[in-house]
Amino acid sequence: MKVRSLKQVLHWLFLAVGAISAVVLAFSVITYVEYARDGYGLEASVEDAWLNGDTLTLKLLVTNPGGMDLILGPLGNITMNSVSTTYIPDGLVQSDDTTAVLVSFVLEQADIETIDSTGIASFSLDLQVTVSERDAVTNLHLDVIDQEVIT
Amino acid sequence: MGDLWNTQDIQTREFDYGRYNTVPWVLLKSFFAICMMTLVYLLYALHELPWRLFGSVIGILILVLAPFFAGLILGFTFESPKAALAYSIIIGFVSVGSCMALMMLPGILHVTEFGFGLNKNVWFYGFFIPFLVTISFVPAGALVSSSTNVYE
Repeated sequence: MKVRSLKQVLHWLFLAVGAISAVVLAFSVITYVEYARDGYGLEASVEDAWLNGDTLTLKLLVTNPGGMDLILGPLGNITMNSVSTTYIPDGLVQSDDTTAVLVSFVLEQADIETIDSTGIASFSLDLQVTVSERDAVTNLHLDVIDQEVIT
Repeated sequence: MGDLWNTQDIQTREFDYGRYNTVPWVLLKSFFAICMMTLVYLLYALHELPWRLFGSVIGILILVLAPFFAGLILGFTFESPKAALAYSIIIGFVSVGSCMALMMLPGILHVTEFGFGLNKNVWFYGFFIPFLVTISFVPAGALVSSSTNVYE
């Protein structure tokens, strides 16, 4: 094969790889900015919920697809009829891992009565996400509708 | 010996510069080279992305081979190795700069508050490592290709 045709092949290969790179670069940058805006890539779902007296405890399954250890917390809010704030003591979610995190909130009387009468709860959670490697704190927002609560 | 020299000289001049080295092609090649190098530098620096290059042997291979490939293609553009070297290193440094800028983007846009940790990461993973890779592998690729420009 002549060097000229090798050069031609390399040029076309480069153009193909370059075009793909441009697309992946745009996608990666958008994802990175979105991570910083909300949740840092964490995906959370409510596995179980218990109401014990005035304390609602949620077992969250939190998945961290990235390669950076993240800390859920230290502060979290639950919004039902009223807003309750709590402190999350150990919310370490290691990289490439799914971790169960328990979060407890002391609820207002109106919210307790709603859960007692229906057995279900709809609420939104706003949990801080601490990214120690970047010295950053962002927010993980979660909307939960009709979650069964064990009373 | 004189004949051999003349043949080499003609072959050098007959290389198909016209086909792949017109201004639009060179601009396109440069743009794609910047995209490609910025992408691998960024994917090595951003540990939070699921498709990161950090932490694997394949990742390091991609990190060093992409700039080599970019340098290789940029080097085909120039008859003079000196020009190829200068141009490809400049394109490499532009990529390092754009990697740093893109890494700082969430801080610049104030989507969340960052502390000193981001700056530390930007300087190490966004500048230092890409800088070392650029000065090592981009000139290597550029010189390999510009030295083959004498062959048909």
